Amino acid sequence: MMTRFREEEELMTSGHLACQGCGGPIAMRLALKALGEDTICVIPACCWTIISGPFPYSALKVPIMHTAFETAGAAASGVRAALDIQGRSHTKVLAWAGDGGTFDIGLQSLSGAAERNDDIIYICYDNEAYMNTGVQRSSATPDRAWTTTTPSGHPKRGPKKNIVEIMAAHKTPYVATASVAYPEDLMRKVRRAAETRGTTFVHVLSPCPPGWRIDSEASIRIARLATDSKVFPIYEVENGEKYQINVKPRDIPVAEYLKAQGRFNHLAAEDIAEIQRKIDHEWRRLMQKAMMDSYSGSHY
Amino acid sequence: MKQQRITFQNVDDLPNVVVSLGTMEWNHTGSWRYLRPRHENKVPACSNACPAGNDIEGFIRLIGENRFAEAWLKLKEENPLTRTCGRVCFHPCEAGCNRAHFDMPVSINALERFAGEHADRNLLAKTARPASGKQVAVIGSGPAGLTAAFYLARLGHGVTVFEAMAEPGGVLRYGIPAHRLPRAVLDDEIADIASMGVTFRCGVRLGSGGDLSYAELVGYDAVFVAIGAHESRRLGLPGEDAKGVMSGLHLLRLVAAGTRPRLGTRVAVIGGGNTACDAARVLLRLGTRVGLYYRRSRAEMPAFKDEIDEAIREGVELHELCAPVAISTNATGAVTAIRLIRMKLGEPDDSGRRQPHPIPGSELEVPVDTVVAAIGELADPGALPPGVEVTGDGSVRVDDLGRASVEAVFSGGDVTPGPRTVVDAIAAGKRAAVAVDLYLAGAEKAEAAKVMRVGLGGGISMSQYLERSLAHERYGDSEHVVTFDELNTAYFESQPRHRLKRLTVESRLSGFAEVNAGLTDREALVEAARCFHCGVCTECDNCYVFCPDVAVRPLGEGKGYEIDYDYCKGCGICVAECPRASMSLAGEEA
Repeated sequence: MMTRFREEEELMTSGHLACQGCGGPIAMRLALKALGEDTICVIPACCWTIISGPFPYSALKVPIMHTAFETAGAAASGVRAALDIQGRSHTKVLAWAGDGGTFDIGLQSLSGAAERNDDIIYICYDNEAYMNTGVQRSSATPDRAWTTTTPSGHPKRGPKKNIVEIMAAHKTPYVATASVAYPEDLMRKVRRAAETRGTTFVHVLSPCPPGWRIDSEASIRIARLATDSKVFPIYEVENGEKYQINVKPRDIPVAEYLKAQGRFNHLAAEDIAEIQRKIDHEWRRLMQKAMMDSYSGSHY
Repeated sequence: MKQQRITFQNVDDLPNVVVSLGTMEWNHTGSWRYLRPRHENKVPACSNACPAGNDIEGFIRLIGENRFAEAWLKLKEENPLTRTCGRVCFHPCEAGCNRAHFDMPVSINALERFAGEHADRNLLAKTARPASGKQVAVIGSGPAGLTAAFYLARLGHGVTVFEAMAEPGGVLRYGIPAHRLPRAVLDDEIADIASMGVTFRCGVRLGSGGDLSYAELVGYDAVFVAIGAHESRRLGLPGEDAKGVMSGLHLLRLVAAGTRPRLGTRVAVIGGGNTACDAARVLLRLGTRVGLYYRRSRAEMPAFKDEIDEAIREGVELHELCAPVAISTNATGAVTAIRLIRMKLGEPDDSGRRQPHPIPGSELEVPVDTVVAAIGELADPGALPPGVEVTGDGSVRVDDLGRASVEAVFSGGDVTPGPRTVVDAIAAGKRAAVAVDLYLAGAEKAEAAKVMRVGLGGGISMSQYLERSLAHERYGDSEHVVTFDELNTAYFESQPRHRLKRLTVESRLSGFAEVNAGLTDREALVEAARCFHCGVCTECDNCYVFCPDVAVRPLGEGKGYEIDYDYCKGCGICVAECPRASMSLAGEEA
């Protein structure tokens, strides 16, 4: 049983419009339980624009500001500044965006906020494509995956953009990955992000049953497999320097993760072998970073 | 009051900015659902494998919560001989334990013994039903008789136990040696049963030529015959009646009564069952050299594997594939040697074991002072009630609840056909107590049989019979036995099984001290934490935490969960992430 989970306030309601088995509302529910009601959400175009419901309703019990696709970072900075002028520095500002709004369209405004180190929490729930518009590829789509714009005859070529490294390169005070498969870890990281002054960034893997071509009940299992196969390591980075791995993978071959999803159905054995080699390489690099001493001075 | 849809009657009702005025709870997403999840406890594989239908998951959970005496009481609901079974049971539950497919089975037998060490007799008295005014005679005080007596007393009937020997216990006292079951433990267990108001009349042998005939048993409304099988099969060899030849049962009985027979220095034990192993280990403790001769190989021996292993560790010399052909004697008629012939294994017989065949010309002679024959036991036909139907080997023929062919006569344990183990005898005693209770009430058994059963293994639950209700019972009406594949093992960590501590061989052989040590509190807690609780909800909250629709809600500690089907979209995540298969998913009805 998760400590305190039963006592923490439920800030997301039933009746929202997410598909069966969607990782998005799981991530949102956990994040808001961790943050509490003194929070304002800024949501650019993404699945959650739809999930929260149409005017005059909202599935969240905290304010949401819906903004344009490219503006989550800038809008959140603005909300922060306005709250600070009102003397409401205690109110947390949560920018909540999908991978399209983070990796692609909103990257410049996120980078701007992080460079200014505005005191916001930015959470990207990553389902690895533009899902609510019909599964178009994004720069978060993994190598060789099927999407409607990268059909199986011409699957995506090239690695998924490493957003955590991009954010760590800003020397942002706190950057972490999390997954809906590890709720306690996710909530701890969101709390930590809220307690840290400056821009904090949490990258949450959030399976999409229709887009990944999996059964709705498999969401959590697939997310767990992503970590256990080292496709999606769970770790955190302080000040862009100090790396710590938080979940020990069970060392499952990536084939098990890929074969469980329809979006990888077309992969040949050579593809899988190549993906495995890359994952092993990336994992070694991550391990090396986790073993390095961090810079002992202050970045600011 | 759940959120309703908001309607604007005219333009003036609209807010001047686009802002939300209510939640989405008006939107009953339950209408999207094709599959309906529900919490549904199922039968753990251990309980299914236990002939007595013990609530194993339940007592281990109580140990895990530091509630040791309650764990013992939980066991006592289904098995009055907890301290005994915790030592001598061959624990088929552990063979069934799903954890075996993960790392190693839970050490259930050791935990059962541990719970028995925290017995609190005062808790027992509260469990008895009001007196029925009926009287039942129980013939024999072995595990079947003791169990029936305990439950009959609990069901409110007056019980008198007749025992031919000087003290109660039957095979537990006069068969199983003290190094496996200390007498103080057995005495404690019997005292529990006496505390329920059971009367013991020892030294009274029933039957023709006994102290009391069945016709003289007046004033009893029913009789339960559980006299065991105490006649040894004869070897059928020349020299069998020589001085120095005795049966295994006779030897064990003598030693249990405190006699130390003259045996010489070299003893041959014939047989491969538990009596042979017990006799061999007792003989070592009496200071003789022991050869154990069995006509098939070690793999076919009917004795429990652990007993064979320990016998050999202690110094019993096992000679497989050797059958006796004659016993040689001297002029005074005393044993001098045993003649044996080597065997080889052929095709399997009716029992599935490979049939041994003698190898011509392979005879050998081994000088010995004593021969102990332990090749099987039979019921004493003279001790049975007149008129009861028996099978070919003289066992009492009974139906599935232990009813014999004569009105008001019930039977169970080793005197009836079937596996001859302590736990099977306990199961028979429990079944018979139910059958007697139904008979005395003039009730039909069909409904009771449905209420009582535990899984598919034939075990029955006394607590379910007493409740006369399926609601809120252990596994509801589920017959579904949980398999390993149904568990979500992502939530379990590998943890080694407790290694049983035993006396060194030197200290064992100096007397009849108990060989196996029990668990400490800490060891028991660690071992209890290994239980998967297959099929039984432990309120781990996975269903609640992972629900994307906030449709699973806890009802408070110990009360489980409710699912709000107005909103549940039927994604199935709760069922998939249940570690122990205590949820089910089924298609919605059209």
